[in-house]
Amino acid sequence: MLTIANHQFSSRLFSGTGKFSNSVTMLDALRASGTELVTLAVKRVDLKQRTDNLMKPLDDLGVKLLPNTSGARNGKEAIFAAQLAQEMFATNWVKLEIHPDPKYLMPDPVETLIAAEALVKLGFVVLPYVHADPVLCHRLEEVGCAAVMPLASPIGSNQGLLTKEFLRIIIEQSRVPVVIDAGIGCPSDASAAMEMGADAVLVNTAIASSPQPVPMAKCFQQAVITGRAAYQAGFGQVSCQANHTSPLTGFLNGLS
Amino acid sequence: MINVVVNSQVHRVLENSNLLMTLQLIAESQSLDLSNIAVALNQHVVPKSQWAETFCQQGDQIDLFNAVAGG
Repeated sequence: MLTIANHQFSSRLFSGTGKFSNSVTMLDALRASGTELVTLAVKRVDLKQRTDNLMKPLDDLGVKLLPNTSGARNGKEAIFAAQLAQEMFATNWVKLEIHPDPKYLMPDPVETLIAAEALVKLGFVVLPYVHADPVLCHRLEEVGCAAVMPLASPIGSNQGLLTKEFLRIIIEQSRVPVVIDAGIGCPSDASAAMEMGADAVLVNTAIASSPQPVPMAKCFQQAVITGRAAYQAGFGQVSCQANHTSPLTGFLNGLS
Repeated sequence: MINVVVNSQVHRVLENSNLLMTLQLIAESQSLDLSNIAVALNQHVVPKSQWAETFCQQGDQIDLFNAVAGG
């Protein structure tokens, strides 16, 4: 069981609701993934356009909602977004994300730390999305974040674990859960993250952008379970030289 | 009557209207479901429990937000 801020999760696969071609596929994929924590965003209502109510079907699915602060360009906007989300979703959980640069969506570490500290003081359960920076993750832990969410590669890029060696340091040092977020492109990436000892992964684009999101969601579920089980079982030693697993020449002894 | 700006649209409402009355008016005219809406008045979030006791002033900026898909 994974525990974040006194909430227990039996699934270590977190997911998002973005980029699905329609809401039926999204709900089917979320169901297939077995996820128990799902992200959503907050947006100003377009009064000229009617939008579907996302929350009702997600409530029916029984998942916990994790609103994000996507779109915030600085700490002040992120705090505002978190307060809106708290009102809208009746939750004090927030995925804090501040990315002023629209091209690479790199999270702003300075604004994230400032906003995280302020939100913790306001009583929020803060899960900050950050670069794979072990020092920053440590600072975020110190100001009271409930978990850290370092990126594997740029958001939505499906490039996989480009930051692997830094994620390894974060996992080793962190005393709060580490959720690998962003850029996980295929189930083997998710499995590798879990084998490294990550507490959970957050996968959205890789599922939503698959031609078949529902089977892909199931594959991610299995990959996360397998990766976690492998981590718990422990790995054999890596060596540079070959080390035979069968007798090499014994069966020839005595012949000639 | 006073003018308030709701998500960039100007609306005329009765003087002494509270936020709840104003929002109900908007919801009715725009077929908007208020159940999962968060509201900011002049860029400060107003909890639903305070809508009825928050009074609108001429020129107030009211912003409505809802949940959208996101990762």
